[in-house]
Amino acid sequence: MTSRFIAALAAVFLILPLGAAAQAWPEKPVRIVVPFPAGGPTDIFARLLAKRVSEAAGAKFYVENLPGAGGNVGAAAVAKAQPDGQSVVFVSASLAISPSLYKSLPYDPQKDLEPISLVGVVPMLLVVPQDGAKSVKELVAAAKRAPGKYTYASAGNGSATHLGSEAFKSQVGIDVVHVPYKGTAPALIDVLAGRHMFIFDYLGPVKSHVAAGKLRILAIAAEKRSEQLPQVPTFAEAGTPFTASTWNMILAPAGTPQSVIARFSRLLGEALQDPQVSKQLESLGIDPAADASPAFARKLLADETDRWAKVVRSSGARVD
Amino acid sequence: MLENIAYGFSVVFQPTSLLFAFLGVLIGTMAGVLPGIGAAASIALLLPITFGMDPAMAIIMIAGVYYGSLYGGSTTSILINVPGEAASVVTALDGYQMARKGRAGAALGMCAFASFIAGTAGVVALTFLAPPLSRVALSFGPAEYTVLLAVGLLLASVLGSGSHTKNLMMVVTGLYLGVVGIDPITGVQRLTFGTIHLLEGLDIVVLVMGFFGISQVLTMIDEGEGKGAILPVTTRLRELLPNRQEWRAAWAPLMRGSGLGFLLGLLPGGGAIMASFMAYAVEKKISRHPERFGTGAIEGVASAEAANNSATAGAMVPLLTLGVPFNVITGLMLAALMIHGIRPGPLLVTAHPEIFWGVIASMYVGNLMLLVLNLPLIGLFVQLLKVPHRVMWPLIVLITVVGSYSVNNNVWDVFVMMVAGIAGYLLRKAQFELAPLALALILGPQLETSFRQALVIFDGSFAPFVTRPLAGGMLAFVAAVLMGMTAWRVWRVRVSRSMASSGPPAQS
Repeated sequence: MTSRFIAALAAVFLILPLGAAAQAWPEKPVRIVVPFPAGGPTDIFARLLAKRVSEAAGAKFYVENLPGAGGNVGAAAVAKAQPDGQSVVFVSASLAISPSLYKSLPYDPQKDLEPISLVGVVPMLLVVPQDGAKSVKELVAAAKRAPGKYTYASAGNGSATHLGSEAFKSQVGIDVVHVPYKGTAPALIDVLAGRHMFIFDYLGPVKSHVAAGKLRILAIAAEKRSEQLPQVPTFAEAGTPFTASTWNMILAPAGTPQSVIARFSRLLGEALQDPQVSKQLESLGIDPAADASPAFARKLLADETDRWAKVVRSSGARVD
Repeated sequence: MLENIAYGFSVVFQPTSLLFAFLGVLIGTMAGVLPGIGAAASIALLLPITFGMDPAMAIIMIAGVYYGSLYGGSTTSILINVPGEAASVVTALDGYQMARKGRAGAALGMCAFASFIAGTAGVVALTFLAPPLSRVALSFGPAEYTVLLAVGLLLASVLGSGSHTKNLMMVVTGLYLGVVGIDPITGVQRLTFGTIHLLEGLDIVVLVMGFFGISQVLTMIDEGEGKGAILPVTTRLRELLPNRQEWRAAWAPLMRGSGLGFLLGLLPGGGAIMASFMAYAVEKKISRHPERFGTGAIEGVASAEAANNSATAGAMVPLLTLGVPFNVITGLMLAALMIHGIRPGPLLVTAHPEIFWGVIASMYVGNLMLLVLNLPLIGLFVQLLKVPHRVMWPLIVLITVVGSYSVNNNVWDVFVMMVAGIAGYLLRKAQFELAPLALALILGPQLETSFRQALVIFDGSFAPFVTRPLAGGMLAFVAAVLMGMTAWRVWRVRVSRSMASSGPPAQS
């Protein structure tokens, strides 16, 4: 009798700290790992969110940059971190692309990481130089007339925009040669100078050039038009239905307590609803996620991993 | 035009702007002095603080950190042969030798003046020529860039003073080290040994800290405290600044370095590191006394320092006029602006003139602040030479370790630096020079990327390298210079031979 009583007492004591920790989260500063260099678009998004969430939660959320290997160094670091809610990783679609691109990864994105929330979706845009095609149909027709003659730029081998370009190419059946650059900045320079037929990019980098008339956006690879670009048709409206976007998601190491994940997901959802935050994001070309639940994020990650796997296979892109 | 600059100055000459400019240059100088910790790491740390600030103030401060770091980087290069910044490596080549001859103050002074003159000249060019210069930046495509980098690589072996063969071996080693990572065009992994840490390649800052910083520590420990370690220290002000003879020698290299540095800053992936190496190599190549370089030639110090400072002004051109950042630091500036909802681009000058002209005006003021800040500190810095070695070297190692970690927040980089340090030490013992390796490491990957991009764009044809005006023009120019120099040397040898044969009779 006494031993059972003691066991019950012990069980109660064992449960308490866990409960207390979950309720107290976030007590200590929470590290948001951005697996890309500081100053990039993912980094900016993360910092904006970190600031807003810090204010709302009354605790410190700070960004730490762990760049390398297309986002895998940082993701691997968090996958191996303690699942105590103190470290999360802020990824882009590269998390879904990496498993098919790299022969071996030191972690499994779907098993070793637990999605918390999708935070944003960034649709791709088909961008041409000033003197380029006037419409998607014109571009496709010109490319079909001279297969292999034209080139397109991308921000790097295996990047989401490279694979998006390849997906578009195979969908409409054109042959345009890929010229990879290290990042979007040098790629844009050569597109501005008219050296390429097109580039798939996001609104952020090209916005000011479009406003100045140096670049034109032919279509947006989304379901519906963007409020930031009301006169840009969707690919479906332009005659060649096509959607492609990158997205940003926050994940924690697998095994992180569900209460922490739920709380973080709620905080993020609130931050994304904040009109000031959503205005800032939209001006960067990011659509704040409508559904910030862990379940939605998990499903999206699985779907996107499959989708990009198909694109990688058919395009032959690899980081061998 | 003038009313724009006046407007810019009105933005800058407010107490808060001046304060932030000062803070920026101060932090930048300190970041520059500390080996390994550089402007990029400091700015990344300052980014959250800039959220709540007025965007013009934020950029003024960040720009201050940027060019401030290049002032500070040369201090440790000259005094203890440990570069504070990767861009200050070449300053050490001659600066340290000057310090060994008791001219540390003069070297430091020349750095301050060269940086100021070049920085100001760069900002003047930025002020008046920004729009046309942005067109220059656009006209450099892969073909042109390939030619430029290939020429630069030719100069790499010039950087070393010793055996030509050994220099070439170092150049090749540098190229090999640059190969590590993912092939930029096809995505194939090269020399990565299956670890994700090598996928991005070896970081140049980390390698430089190892090859030049840690190896110097090891060399000094090897040589012992007594030998060659104590440098003569003077405290008279006149001795602390460059004398007239030094100014005469350094003047032209300074101007040339400014020009070359600014142009290299305009180009993608260029920037202060490449500028300082190339300016030094060019000066050595065209000098009448190339053997002076590496033994304490002030021309080397002046040209390298001028180049790296004017390159920062050059790097601001694509950022401010095109909204495209060409290196890590301008990328961070872009981020700081974007967080405030400002997207620089061709319309920045009309949409946000206070930022455009405010930043430019702040660069004038910042350069002046740095000069005023650094000159009196020369006397203080020179006293640092008196620090006992058993205190100084461990401290340097500590700072370098922290610095190399701060580049990517990755412990792996620290290991790479250590290995590079040991390798550098061994190479030095075997009389190999490391500067050609460094330049090859900087230029190699970019040369390969541009070359292959050009070949893809032009469908495998080599003709565009010669037929495109800018590329072909550069090739023709370099070919003419090389042929001219060879002809000059051949002629001189003939002249001296004919004089010797008709000269005084041989001694019997």
